[in-house]
Amino acid sequence: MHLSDRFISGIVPIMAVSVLVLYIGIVLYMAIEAWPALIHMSWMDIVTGTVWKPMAQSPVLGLAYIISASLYISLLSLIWALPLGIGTSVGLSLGVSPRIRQFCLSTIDMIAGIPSVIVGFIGLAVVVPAIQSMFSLSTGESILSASLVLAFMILPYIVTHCTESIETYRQRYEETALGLGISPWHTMKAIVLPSAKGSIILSSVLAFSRAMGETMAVMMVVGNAPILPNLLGKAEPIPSLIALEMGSVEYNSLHYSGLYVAALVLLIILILTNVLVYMYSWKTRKDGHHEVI
Amino acid sequence: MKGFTKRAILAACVGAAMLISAGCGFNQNAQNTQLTYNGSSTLAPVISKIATDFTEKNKTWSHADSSLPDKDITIYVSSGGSGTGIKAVIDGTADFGLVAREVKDSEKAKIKDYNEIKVGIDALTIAVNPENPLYAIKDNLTKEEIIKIFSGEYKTWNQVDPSLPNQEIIVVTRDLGGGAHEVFQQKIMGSVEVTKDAIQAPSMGALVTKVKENPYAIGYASYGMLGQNKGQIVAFKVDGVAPTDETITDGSYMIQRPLLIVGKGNMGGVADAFTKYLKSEEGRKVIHKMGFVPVN
Repeated sequence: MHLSDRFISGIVPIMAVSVLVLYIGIVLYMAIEAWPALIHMSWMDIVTGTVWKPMAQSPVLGLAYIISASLYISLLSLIWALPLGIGTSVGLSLGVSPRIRQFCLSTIDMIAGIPSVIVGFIGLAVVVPAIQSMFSLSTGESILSASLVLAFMILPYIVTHCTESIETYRQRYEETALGLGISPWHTMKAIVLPSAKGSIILSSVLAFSRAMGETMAVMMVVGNAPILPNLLGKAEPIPSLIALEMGSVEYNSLHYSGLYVAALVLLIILILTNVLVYMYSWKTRKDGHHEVI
Repeated sequence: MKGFTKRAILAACVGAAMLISAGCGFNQNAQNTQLTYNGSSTLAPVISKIATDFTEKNKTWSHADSSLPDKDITIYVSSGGSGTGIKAVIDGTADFGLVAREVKDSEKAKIKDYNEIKVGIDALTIAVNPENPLYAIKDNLTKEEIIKIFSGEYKTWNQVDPSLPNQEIIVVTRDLGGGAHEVFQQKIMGSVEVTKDAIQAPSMGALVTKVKENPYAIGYASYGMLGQNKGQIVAFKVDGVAPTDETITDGSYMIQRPLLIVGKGNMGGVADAFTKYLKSEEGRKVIHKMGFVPVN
């Protein structure tokens, strides 16, 4: 082996292992910091409790409303973004020339790069007042506003991912379908979209993870009140809770530890969704269906 | 496979060695000519501005005070909240913590040779939009009225006064665990809790924006923000006392909090020189310009 090869083969595993160690370290650190709160209240009480009073004499760390706000906003944003995203992908694949498609895709990629604080600011200046006057609310900060802002942020992830796989399948079946006299749009509906189902699901999960973790943009338009989430009402999702309270929390208090519990819950939800999707994709592959990624 | 295991073990060792050596790096700076401040996002911009002025004026420590070493002045200021500031002092990741509230006894106990310097006072004003219907009929709120508004006992403006419109009162607060809210809770609310319906604004700027755009909103804007947004937001008197420099300094305006620099014991020469500048006429001017009331 050349010296440089040996160097590379030595250094690459070091890097791989350090990254792994780093990730495991972060999770362990979170678990250790969360421990005092988990002794103070059981997992069950934390996840089902509706009262978040971390500053009380005996802190109450109920996360139920906060967790449900996170899920509500993320799922709702997925409901807005998914049809739009798939529609855009189909349109880009069938409706336009490759050059325009490429141009559109790079523009959409650029949208993904807009800093979330700017998206949040636009949300605060445009979406919140619009929702406020549309539903004659006293104030427009709501789950609905947050989900719309989020939908805009996750749309590029869905479009990029779906277009790629839809294109692959379209090219694969294009000639056969045309030879049989089937129109491209029918091929899309009957063959391409069903084949790309797995990849669409995967992109939704990626988008969902992104939505669950988004902090700044959501925090600016959601009102941050830890109450029962309601479509037109204020709510406080997990990342907002952590971002708002982390700065001023008393070090090593139960409040501090409670925020780590919230972070752990967020992490667990994300890991679970990802595991489920990979299990699904693994199963369909084993069953001899089309490859999904 | 065996080769991989060996390389993995080697990798782990190298990684650990790197971490350890990085950890030691922090303590190499025995000759301390740099100062680090961390903490309150209210106070950090003030200290940062004064530090910039101080560095530009003096360049080296010896220029500021001839007994100090002839080294460049380096002052780092970072912000992350009052709690983070205290944590930084306890952990030793910063020389000083910036705290915009009274320091709790439990926190003082964790800091060896606790030492605090009061550089100014920040006050909170009960602010509304100039078009707020309540402000049109009176400019004074009693403590009891404020408690009823912020606790959610009054839900709509016509419950405060029957002549007002039947519109929901939108209460805007900062994060309920933060320094600003703590002051409000202590000085006004006491044991009564703020309504769960309140909007928690992520920054003072966001709070003021909400009040500026919604005539039915009410929130506690900082005194500095009131000055910067003259005409766009207005403040009620509290129990008959209007928020002014005089009433804040003499303590008769009650919703106020100290701006503190907290440290471990006496830091010595370099720190003293900068603290002296903070307290000087130039330092006080900056504090005042940024919306706070300097103290002697």
